[in-house]
Amino acid sequence: MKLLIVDDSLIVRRAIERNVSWAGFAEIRLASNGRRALEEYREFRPDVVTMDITMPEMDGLTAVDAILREDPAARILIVSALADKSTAVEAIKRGAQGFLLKPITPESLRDAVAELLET
Amino acid sequence: MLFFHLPLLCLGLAAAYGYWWHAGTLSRRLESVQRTVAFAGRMSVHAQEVQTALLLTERALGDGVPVSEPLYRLQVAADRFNTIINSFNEGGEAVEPDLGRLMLDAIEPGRAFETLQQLNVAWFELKNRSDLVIRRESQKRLDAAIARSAIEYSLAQQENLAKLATEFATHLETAQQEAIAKASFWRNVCLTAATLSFLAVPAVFLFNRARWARDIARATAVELETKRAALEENQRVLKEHESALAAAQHESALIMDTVQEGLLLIDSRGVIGSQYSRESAAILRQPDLAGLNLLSLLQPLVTEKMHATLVDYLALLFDANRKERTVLKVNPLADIEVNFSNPAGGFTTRFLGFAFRRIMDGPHVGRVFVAMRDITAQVELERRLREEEKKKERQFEMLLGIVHVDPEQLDLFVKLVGSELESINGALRAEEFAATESVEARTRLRERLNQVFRSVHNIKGNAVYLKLDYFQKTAEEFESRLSELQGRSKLGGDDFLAIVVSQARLRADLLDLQELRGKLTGLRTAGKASAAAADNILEQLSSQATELAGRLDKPIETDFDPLALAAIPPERRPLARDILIQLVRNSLAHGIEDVERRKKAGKRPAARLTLRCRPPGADGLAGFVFRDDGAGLDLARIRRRAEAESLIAADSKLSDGELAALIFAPGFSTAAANDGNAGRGMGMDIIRHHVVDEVGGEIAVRSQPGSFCEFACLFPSETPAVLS
Amino acid sequence: MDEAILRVFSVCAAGYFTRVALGPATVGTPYLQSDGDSVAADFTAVIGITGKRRGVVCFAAPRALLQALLPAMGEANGTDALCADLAGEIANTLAGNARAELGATFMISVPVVIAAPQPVPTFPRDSICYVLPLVWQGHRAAVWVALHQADETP
Repeated sequence: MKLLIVDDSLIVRRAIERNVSWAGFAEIRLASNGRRALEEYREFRPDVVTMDITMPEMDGLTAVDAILREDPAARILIVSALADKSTAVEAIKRGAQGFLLKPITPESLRDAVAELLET
Repeated sequence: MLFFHLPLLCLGLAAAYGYWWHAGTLSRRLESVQRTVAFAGRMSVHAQEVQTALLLTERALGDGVPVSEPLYRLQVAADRFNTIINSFNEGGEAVEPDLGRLMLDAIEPGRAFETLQQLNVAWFELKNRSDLVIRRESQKRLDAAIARSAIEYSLAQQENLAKLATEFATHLETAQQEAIAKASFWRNVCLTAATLSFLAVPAVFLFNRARWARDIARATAVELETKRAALEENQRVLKEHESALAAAQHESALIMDTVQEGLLLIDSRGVIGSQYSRESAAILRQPDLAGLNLLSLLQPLVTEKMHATLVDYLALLFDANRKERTVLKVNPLADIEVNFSNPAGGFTTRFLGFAFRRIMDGPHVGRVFVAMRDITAQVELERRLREEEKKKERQFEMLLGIVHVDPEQLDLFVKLVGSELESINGALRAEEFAATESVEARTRLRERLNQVFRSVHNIKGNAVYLKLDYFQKTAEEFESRLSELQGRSKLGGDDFLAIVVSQARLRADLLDLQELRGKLTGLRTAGKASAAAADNILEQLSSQATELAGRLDKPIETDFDPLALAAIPPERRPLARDILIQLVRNSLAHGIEDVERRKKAGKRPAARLTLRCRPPGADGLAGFVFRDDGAGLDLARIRRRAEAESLIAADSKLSDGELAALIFAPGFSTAAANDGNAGRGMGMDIIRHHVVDEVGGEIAVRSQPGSFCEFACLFPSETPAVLS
Repeated sequence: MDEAILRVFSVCAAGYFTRVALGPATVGTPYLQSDGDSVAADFTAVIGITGKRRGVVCFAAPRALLQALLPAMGEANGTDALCADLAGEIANTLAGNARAELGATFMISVPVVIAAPQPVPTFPRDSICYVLPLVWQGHRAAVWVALHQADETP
């Protein structure tokens, strides 16, 4: 199992990385914007992606579209601070499997990743 | 018999072969003619393209964008035209992307030749001018005038060029037809010879074969004739279509490329057709629109609600049962905000205007024609104008409220409001904010609230004094928010949000007032001397007191010494005035009895307010003394009130002097009503704050129950350094 | 701009510290920025706002606060790069969370973090900028809110 973590904040990327050790991902890669995420996805083919929305160069929702166009089976968890309901609905509509609101805590992240892995 | 028939048969066969050969050649020539004419027709198309490219070049020059793209188009079109016309002139290979290559013979003298010569004249002049445009650009010396001259020539010659090109094609065709007709003569001779030869062979044994040969010849003849007719028809139709299509296509291309509006067609699902104006791609920021869905393109740009509305509206547009006029009237896209996500982060906000028209396909709406424009500049201008308009209205209202005020007083008011706002901000942003939830912190927040209240109350007092209703209203609203907070048992930083918002409003009003004040300066003569200003303060104070007394139904007489403020340095006069406003209001609200009670007490019905100067004394203090002949301080009532407000413990032993001093405590008030005259409980507090705390003066109160109350406000008489 | 919007930011800011950090932050008394005031913090994260309201929202914090907060995020070293990253992430979270109340038309940009002594952008003189001070474990930070409402389009 492989994980791709996409966020423009290094702290958040590392925090997610540290807090998913329980899930036993064989390899984890990090990307700092949507465009890099797409490139990594092509090369790395992760089983799970965590995706921020507000990022430079390419935002997370656009990246979700692009990834799902190439791999409709991609499993993506949105991790964003955008707290309005319509953003969450939009993300799910575009094909993300989960939505986790920032700020994240170890518990909230654990629940969201566990739920994603079940499906 | 065979000797006789054999030559005939041979002749017949030879003639049949001749017919075959001629027919094949004819058919090939027909095809060649068709292509030659098509090449000739292309010249008018290229001439039009040259014009389009020139127009685009001019537009690019005007817009200040690179001209390389239109110039490339210009070069290509001119080259193609040139290749074709030269092939006709000298013979050679002409090439067109969709027609392929064709060897052309030089045109022989004749009618087509004459037209070609005219065409040469018109074309080479146009080419010279286009070449100049291209050359100038390569030397970086291209200007609009050069492009314009080429365009003007092109516009003038366009019709002529098109006419000549068509004429040339027609002559060419006629000439070729004549050649074909000549060739047809020999074909017909062969046909006749073959037929006669075969008919002339009577031999029975050859009959079948002869008939067979004849049948073939006839069938071939019929087939060839049909083919020729079909080809000719084909060629005619093709040529018609070709030229009509080319003209139409290039006209629409010209329109689509140069029109400054986004134009496109959508089907009922919102899919964009293959023809759309260049501007639409620019507006939607997509390189290629054909086949894309307009709704999907707009979805990420507009709000979710707007997108849902769009989907519904599209359904209405395509619903032929709805009247088009009705549907167009409710167009929700006449003016919408779109937000393009910016690659560098953030968004670019634009405003787009859409217009629609149905294109009917029988009883159904086949497509919808969409016109769109980027109206950002317009919308922003309108918005700015609206804001300006609103501001003007507000300022006008304010202007009406200030014209009666002496400019100098207005300046003082502006200064006062400014400094009070600063003091409010100072109170709110004091360093030791929000140090946990201790009792001490809460007390400090409360103190801060009181400080803010004092400032606002002072602004209000001055606004009332100057009859600045606008500010009075804002200050009153501010005060009621503060009162509400004062009533709360627990205060947090959050509770001050309402206050900071009121403060912002007051600051905005002040900015408007300052701006207006600046405008008024030119309209009015410069301010009077400052001694006159002192008179003015007393005059205003007197009239305000009389007015307030009238409202309270307590008649008064004012006895203000014209030199009452002489001992106050000019820079302190605004403060003196603020204090006097409070004292007058205080007297009228608390001290002075109503007429009935005054009569009973044996006093004159009209109360007397007195103001005198207190010259500098041995204590180094100077100021004024204000006195009313009202009921004096009601010490019993002060005690009750102070107990109720928990300022003192019940039954605490206090001297009369100590009781009197309570009226200067924050939050103390003896008036029941909150009516803008007194009663918000901060009046005396403000005076003490300004006189004692701020400038180190003194304030003294003397009172004789039933007969008078007197306040002395004294300031250090040397020139003071500090004044907030 | 009204009190309700300021309250949203005040609540979001306090909420961030409660959720992420070891203790809640106290919101101090808000005030208006006056001429000549500058953010004057070690790190200032600026977020551009577009949509129905336009302007900026900033989070300004001293190095000490960020360094004290980093361990709560699992970071052992408080380098300046991480401090800047954290300031940006806090600003992004505040502004993003505010959309729960203000809706999707409150559009936020990615944060731009300015470290002292680089100058912080100034606000136009007639714009009103509110300062919401915060105290967390003895460190002071502030949320700056300068927004004006764009006219409603019909």
